[in-house]
Amino acid sequence: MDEWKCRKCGEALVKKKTVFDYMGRTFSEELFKCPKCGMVLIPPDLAKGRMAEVEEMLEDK
Amino acid sequence: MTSFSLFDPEKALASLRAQLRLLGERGRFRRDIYARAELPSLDALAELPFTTAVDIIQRCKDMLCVSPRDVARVVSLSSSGTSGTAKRLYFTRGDLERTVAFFAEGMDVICRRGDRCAVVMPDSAEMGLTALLTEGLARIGVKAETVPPRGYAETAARLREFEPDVMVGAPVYLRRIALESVDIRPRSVLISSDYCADSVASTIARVWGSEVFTHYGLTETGLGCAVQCRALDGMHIRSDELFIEIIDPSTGAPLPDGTPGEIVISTLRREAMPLIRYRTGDIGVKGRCECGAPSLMKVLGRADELYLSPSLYELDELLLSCDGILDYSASRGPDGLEVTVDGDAEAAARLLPGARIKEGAAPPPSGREKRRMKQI
Repeated sequence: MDEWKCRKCGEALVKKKTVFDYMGRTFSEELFKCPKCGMVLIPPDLAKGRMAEVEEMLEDK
Repeated sequence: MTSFSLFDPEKALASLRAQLRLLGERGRFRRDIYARAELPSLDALAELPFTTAVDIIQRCKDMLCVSPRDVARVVSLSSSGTSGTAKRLYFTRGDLERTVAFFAEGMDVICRRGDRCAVVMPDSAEMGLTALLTEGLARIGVKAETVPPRGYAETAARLREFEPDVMVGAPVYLRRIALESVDIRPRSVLISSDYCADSVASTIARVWGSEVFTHYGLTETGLGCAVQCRALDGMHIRSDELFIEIIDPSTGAPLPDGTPGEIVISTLRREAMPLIRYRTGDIGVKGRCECGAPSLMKVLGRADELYLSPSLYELDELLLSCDGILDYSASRGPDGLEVTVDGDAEAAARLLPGARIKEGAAPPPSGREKRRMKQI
């Protein structure tokens, strides 16, 4: 993962704590982030795995 | 008559065509079928395939007709808690706004300005059921408070403190609150969340002296679907938003008014995720309210339980007409019907001579789960 670069800024992504906000709740995760523009890389296994699980849990009737 | 229940066939047909166009242009689920459908008449709708719960679980993203950024709220209905197995329903701000407007007009029949309304339902996250209902009530000058269903004594204590004029909640749960806390006595009660046997509504009405209205709705119908007016006859269908068919659950053939069958809904104005011929899995009877509005006259429980005899609905009619029976659960297996009774088990044995009757506390209310007959 070290070789990831931000396409827009050309900066190497660095691991940083990222806060998610959804349905009035927040949760955080260490993710690769562009130090310049703040773009975050969400890997597919996170998006389809834990993130999807937490989303469904919060999307209460 | 409530304005949402005015049924204009020409308008419904034009709305259905527009929903099909939207699905054909923007959706990926059955795109070709929906794009090609000309729908010369409302009867021609029966030629289109049903949408099932499994379709929604597997293809909900393909049913989305707006950009994800225009989705204001997603509701995930999960039975297993495993990711990827939930029914996910998408709504735009406009979809939610029309639900709030329906709640406001439907509750305006029941409430008076200045009333206090206790919503005995699990507190929802933002833009969820209780939030939308609270918003609708605020528009007609009614103060709402959510009182999540917990232990009966705890809930009753909170209700006593709030002193509601109107109460909204699940049928068997509210019946038990009424039987155990006769002093609460709201002027009006709206039964929702599940089918309601006449015995349940009439017990609440008798014990509390309340006017008892019923509502039927699902997340798929945009939460609201049909609600009784002061005539306390049929539940007026939200005809400006939904087109309802009743079908034979085994053959799929349309059934005439007055015949019980599976309730199938098509949306008329849904922006995020229009549904065409969605099989709700619930059994209902369509007809007209005595005030003339097209209505659901009854909702009788689940389609897969329709042919059980007695059905859970029939058991409710029988057992819950007895005040000593507070709640019960029923299962059917190779040894026949087994009923676990919370309350007067002897009375239950007299009412159901052929069944095995056990005594036992009813499971604590989840506030979400619908009543079902267990099959062993």
